[in-house]
Amino acid sequence: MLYAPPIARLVEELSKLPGIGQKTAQRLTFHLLKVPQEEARALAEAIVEAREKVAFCARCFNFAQGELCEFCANPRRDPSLVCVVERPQDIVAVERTGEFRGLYHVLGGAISPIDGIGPEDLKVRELLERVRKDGVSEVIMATNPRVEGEATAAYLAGLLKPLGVKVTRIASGIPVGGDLEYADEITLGRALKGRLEL
Amino acid sequence: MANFKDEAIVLRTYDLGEADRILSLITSRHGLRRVVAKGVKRTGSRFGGRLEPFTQVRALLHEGRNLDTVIQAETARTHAALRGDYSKFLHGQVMLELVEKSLQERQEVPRLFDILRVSLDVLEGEVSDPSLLLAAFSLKVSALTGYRPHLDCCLHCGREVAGGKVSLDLGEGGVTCPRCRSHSGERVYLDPECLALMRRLLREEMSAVARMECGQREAMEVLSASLRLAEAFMERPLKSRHVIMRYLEGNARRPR
Ligand SMILES: [Zn+2]
Ligand SMILES: [Zn+2]
Repeated sequence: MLYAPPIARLVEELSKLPGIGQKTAQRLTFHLLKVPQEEARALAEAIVEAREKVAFCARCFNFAQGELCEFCANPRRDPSLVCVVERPQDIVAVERTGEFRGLYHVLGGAISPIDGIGPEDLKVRELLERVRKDGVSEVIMATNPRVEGEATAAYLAGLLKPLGVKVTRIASGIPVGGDLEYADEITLGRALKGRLEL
Repeated sequence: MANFKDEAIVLRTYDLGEADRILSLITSRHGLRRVVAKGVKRTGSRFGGRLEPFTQVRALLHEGRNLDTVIQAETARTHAALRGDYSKFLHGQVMLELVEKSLQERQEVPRLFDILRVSLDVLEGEVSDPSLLLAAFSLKVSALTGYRPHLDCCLHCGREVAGGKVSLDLGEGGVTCPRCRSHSGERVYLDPECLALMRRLLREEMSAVARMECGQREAMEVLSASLRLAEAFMERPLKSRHVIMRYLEGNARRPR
């Protein structure tokens, strides 16, 4: 089907978004053409504003509105503890626990050779620099417990330990509300290794 | 369409929407498959961590028109040691990419599954030089998929290639003597010792390759040449080649 150029352009732009195929892009386009003018304008402005005002924190590479992100700029956070994550959205997940009072370091992904991504493509040099200069005493590896995240954590531990810093890994285990019977071997094996005395 | 059971090794995964993933699998009897694993990203999924790269599973699959679906997966080997050791992880990843790129979808090459299974098992254990193991794997995969590298004598005139650096013609898939060398085409120049090493790697069992040793520079030259040969055969680049070569070069600069 041929659309008028402004419609075709919106469909094309939307279909570039992750997880959005041609069909969904068409549906979203027709939805946006039906909603009140102000609503569509608010969405367009929100996109422009987010892109213009949000940049990356100069220290930890989280999203930030100024030079530093809200955590790095907060004097009540403990700068000697650094939690390493793959993406900014992982910070949100850790924050929701309310268990962590330190700072973060966002790598920008995990090492994935099969996708051509090596350590040089991530914020690894910057992490080493921080540990050397900022008086960091412990680095917590909170990369995803997938093959790439584990290998990234192992790689970073190899570089960090010689600097005399404590390197820890978040524990893996049986999800709360889950069933032992369905746990896979690696998860259950780790849960046993990391058992706690009652 | 029918269900089938097979042993499989997970080569790589692609995210599909919020909860699902598409997996690329090499199976023992049904070739390279692209398979949907539903709900695998949810914590508490019945697949758990079983469908991660390197894992060998006994799987029940449903054959679809384009994509298959995993119905059940039971772990045969986790290859967990490849996660916690960066060098082994890196060498293993190149093996996975070699297998994925050397096959078309649903193409079956006998013994390719077995050589990957054996090689990952060997890589997990004690290995003198994982780069030699990977080079041997790459040469064997090329040979199994119908492109046995011609390393014994000049591929045009059959004369022995001797003295000085040897020319390995990537496009033609073998060594050429100075007389027959074409002026076009990509080639690498190898030390005669490296060529001799590549012949041995092509011949020896993986368990024997695991005990072989050589200098750091030689291992890098042999690995680079073997992977570039594979790329020429597959007619596509290996994304992991640059990652591993950069890693090995970094190690070579650091004194051991
Ligand atoms: Zn920050
Ligand atoms: Zn010749």
